[in-house]
Amino acid sequence: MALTESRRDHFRTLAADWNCGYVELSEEWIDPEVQAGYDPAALARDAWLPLHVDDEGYVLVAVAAEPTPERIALIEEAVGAPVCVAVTSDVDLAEAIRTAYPKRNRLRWIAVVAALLVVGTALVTAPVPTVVVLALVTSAGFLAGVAATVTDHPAAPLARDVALLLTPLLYALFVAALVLPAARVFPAWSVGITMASLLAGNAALVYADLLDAFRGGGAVGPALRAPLRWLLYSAVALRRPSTREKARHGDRTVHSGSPSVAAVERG
Amino acid sequence: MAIAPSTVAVPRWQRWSEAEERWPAGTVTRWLLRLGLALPFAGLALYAESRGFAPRSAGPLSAVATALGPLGLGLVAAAATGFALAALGERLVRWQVPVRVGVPLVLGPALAYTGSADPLAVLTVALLALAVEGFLDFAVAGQPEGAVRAGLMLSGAVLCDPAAIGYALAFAAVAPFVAAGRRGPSIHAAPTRAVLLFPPLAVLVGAVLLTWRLTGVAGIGFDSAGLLGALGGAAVAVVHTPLYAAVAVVYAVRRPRALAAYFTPVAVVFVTLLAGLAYSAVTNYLLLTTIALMAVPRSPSRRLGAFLGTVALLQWAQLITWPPMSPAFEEWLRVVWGF
Repeated sequence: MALTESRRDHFRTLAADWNCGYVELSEEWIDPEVQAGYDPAALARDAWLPLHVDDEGYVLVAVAAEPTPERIALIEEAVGAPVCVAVTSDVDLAEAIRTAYPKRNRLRWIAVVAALLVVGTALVTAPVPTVVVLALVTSAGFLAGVAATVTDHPAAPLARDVALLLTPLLYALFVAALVLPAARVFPAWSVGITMASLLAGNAALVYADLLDAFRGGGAVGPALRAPLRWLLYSAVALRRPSTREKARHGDRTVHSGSPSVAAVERG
Repeated sequence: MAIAPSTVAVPRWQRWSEAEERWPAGTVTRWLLRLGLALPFAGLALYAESRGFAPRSAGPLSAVATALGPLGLGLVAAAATGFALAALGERLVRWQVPVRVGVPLVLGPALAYTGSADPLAVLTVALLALAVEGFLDFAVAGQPEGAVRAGLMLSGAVLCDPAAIGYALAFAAVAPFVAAGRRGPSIHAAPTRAVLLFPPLAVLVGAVLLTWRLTGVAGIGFDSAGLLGALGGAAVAVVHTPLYAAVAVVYAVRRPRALAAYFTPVAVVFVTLLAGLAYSAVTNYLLLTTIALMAVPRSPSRRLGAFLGTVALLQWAQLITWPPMSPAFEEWLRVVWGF
């Protein structure tokens, strides 16, 4: 989170160095029709993604690499229309590509249904061991996702996605352990690990932001709200919108039709 | 083709590396030193166990300590002591401080008991001493990361002894003032306080919540010693450690602002006794002595070294004739040694 934000700051600086605009993908309208027909692996490799057609007929393209004339020409050739590029962070771009091209795999759904059946059967036949294993796996997934996020590990996007999906379940287990006499039914160590995982993960989220505030001179308040932001991200991850609301896009963008990449205009 | 060696002298700071500065230089030698320092305490733990002594532990981690059993507890204490003493010795050697000033810490019954029976006390002393060192780095040497280190060390210490939260409160209160006295970049007060306070507070709240939920009790008891009792306890703690007072005099002359951080342990002793939290004069003796050793100025002059060495020997004589006492220490003396 904090380090993702610092990654964004890094790309904002790069965008200024490249004399180019920066675009927040979370606030951008993404047109699925414009994105149809591309190979997501190639997009991820070349670090660009078409977003939508702007008012002047240019295709707005987010890039996470320096928009050299050669790169813009390459993108324009692939798009087949004049483009207008804006920089975004590599983390956000990877996430946007994953969202735009979800892996539709029927086998995956079969596996999910089979796993649910197995868990359901296990809950009926051996409820205590099943809940203990479920709680430990959830705790481990949440902690791994938080740890990867705050340390900016290369596996952070995937680990974070998994952790965001597991977060509501861990909160439910935590509240149940807090309110109900769980230690009478389940082993005390498993209850302790579940509760400690949620507390430790949230503390790590806050502490990572506090360190950023300490080193960069930021405010303390937003850092203390890091767990709430994580919960909001978790809600968004569970909702998984296929399209996003149209919003006013970026500040400055580079048009391929300009005489040089340095030519910029107000969005 | 032969290449003539460079005649340009490389400044020392450019060729410095953490690995080169380690003492002893070899990894194997360092482990042997730790093992050698731990062995006497392991022997004491074995002897105490054979005499039927069963150490007790308090604090949020007491359940973990109890699960180790008497001998396991003693061996873990010995291992922790070996590591802590090796780290302290490495610091003293690197800072060119005469090692003899460490005599009242190492050669005394207080460490013999704690190092062979109370791993939580060893961890408390080591972590609090590192926290004070980190805070002095921040406040005196102007290293911002010292505050981060202090906060993290306090979060570990608070697990062993909840009274460590007093250090966090005291450091957070004085941080902007002591930092304002030195040259260098100005600090941001709120984030600095947050970095010092948040880790120990989060750990303490989490530990108390978990202990309460799993055992039904909060895990922290209160039994106030009263105002006079607390004042007396804090005064006796300082009188027991002349080396701590002597280093305070050095700071008063050289860095008066650093005294705000240096005297924090005494203030915390007073508040601990006043609030009635668990307190051990033996652990506190070790803590004040360790902090004094880690706060001794680097490369002291021959005269200062001789002064501190003399004070250390006086403290050692006082320790033998008038040792600090705690109920657990008295039981150890009675059961193991028949005193």
